[in-house]
Amino acid sequence: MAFRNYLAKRLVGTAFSYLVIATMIFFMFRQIGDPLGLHISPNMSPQQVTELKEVFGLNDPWYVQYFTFLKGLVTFNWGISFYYMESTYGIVTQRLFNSLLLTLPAILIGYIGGILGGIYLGWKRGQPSERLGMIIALLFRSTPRFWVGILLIFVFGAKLGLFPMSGMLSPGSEFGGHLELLVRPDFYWHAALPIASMTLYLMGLPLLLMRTSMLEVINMDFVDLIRAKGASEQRVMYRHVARNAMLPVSTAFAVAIGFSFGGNVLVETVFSYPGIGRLMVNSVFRGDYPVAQFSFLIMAAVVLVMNLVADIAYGYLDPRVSYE
Amino acid sequence: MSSQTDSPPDRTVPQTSELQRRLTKFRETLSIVFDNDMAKVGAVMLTLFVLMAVFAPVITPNVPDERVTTDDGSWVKEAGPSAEYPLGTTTQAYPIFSQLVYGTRIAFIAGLLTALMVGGIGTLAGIVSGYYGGVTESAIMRLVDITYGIPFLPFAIVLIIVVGGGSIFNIVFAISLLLWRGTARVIRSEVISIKEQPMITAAKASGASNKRIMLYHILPKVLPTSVLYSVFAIGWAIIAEAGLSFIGLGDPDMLSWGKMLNTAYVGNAIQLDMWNWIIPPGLFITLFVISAYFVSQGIEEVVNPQLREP
Repeated sequence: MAFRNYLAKRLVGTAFSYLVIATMIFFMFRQIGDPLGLHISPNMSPQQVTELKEVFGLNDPWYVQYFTFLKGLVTFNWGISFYYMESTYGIVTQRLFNSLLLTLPAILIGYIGGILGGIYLGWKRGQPSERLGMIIALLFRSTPRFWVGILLIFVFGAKLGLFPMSGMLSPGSEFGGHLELLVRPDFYWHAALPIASMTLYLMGLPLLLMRTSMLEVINMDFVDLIRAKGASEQRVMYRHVARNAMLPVSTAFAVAIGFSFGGNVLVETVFSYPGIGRLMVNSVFRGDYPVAQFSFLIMAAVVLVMNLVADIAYGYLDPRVSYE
Repeated sequence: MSSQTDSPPDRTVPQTSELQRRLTKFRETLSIVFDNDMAKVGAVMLTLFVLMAVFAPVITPNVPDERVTTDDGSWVKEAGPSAEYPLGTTTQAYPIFSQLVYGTRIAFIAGLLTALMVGGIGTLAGIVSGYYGGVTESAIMRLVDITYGIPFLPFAIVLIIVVGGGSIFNIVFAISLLLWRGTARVIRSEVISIKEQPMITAAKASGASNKRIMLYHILPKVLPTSVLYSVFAIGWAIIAEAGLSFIGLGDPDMLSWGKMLNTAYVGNAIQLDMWNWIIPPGLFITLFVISAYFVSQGIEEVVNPQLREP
């Protein structure tokens, strides 16, 4: 019962946060320059301008526009892009999937690598290899992702010519849907470097968290008991300590999925990858706010949902958590 | 606070010992921080950066925002490293080494301003919400929850464009507007437990105002945590500034490392094989961030005494 109440409270809280963020974004984007600057030329008659504005719903007073905007959030009718002149929904969702194809593998590889690395470091406590590992992890976290991307392009793209320097597919090849992408070697060839630049950064946090968490568990009584039973040190570490130390990392994982989109904006820019982050940045610069605001709101939705998942998962994974 | 006794003449004695006690405490804290080897390394690195920022004109042979020209007035473009231009010149004939060294100043401005703002806002919000509780607490914590749902960099991008141009202050403002949340949350939970201590009850009973209690009794206790989170913010600020400058939203009047990377990327440094233009700025960002991070490792040992045991 307590859990149900907690869940209901968190759901309402999340919905409220989303509404506030959406409202803030609605008003912020309407401060950016002339949205139809792209289409309106000085030799248009005032009537033509009015007609054009009518197409985009810009003649309505702000509260009508705001209501349409809120309705769009629920019905997924996000209007027409000023720049592409087609449905915003189609453009944004396609780019979102493109981004997911980079982000999910990067997070998965980063977290698996980071967890294993963290276990190793926790196990090697006080030895030089722990110190070295810590410094490497800190280095990863302190290095801007986009610069790592530039370096990778520089070395593996320009110098060695092993990987393409930008884009999602080779020029001239046709995009046949996201499922079809998954069986094309050309896509993986393009995705390798951006995924690598994200992975190196993302690996740092689970590595450090896992290490700290291992150190906390290592001194617990049950570990001595298992040791006394004659289990090998390796088994103690990987099977027993690590399992209990996973808790903070598993919630960080969910939160990382939410937040990584934000940081990937830059990686997508460096690699000219058609993802949602780059779409948002370009749309902001173009004043194409239907696209910009919904790209932003999709990213915000992912963050909020993942935070919620993290909180609920934490309670599920750790029975000691109480929901007052 | 120690003058709870009934003998007024003794007042001056506890006062001086109070100051001495604080000084000793401060020295002890510092020695805990710098007992950590990482913090030592970080402090040395930061000191080197400070020297670089202060003595930039002495260190660099050329002015960063003036093109390097030959005697006949033609530009020295894409030069390789030499004694005259230690890291060569850009495609627009600007000296890379000078830009790099002067960039340290911007890094400090961005880092320290953000740390101050994040620390200030976060600590204030944390203390006020933790101390007063009730509606005040709910309102502030609601706000914190909302900021946790906002994707950091995209928000900074939108905000800077809305505010109109990325002056360094707008960038710091945009970063701080979101980063205070972490500080506020942690400080609040500390304040909640401090509030229950008999010392606070005693202060209240002796008629101290809320403002005085927050300022003299609670603030000193949460200060180490507040400093820790402020130091974390330095790293965030540098990386965020670099990212924003990289997509062209940096301060147009300032030469930051992020902006150097932007001009290098846009100026085709990759295709031109100019490692001397691509590698140094990114390396400096990493070194700066990591040195702040190293120092924070030492501060963390003050905040979490358990970490001190070997």
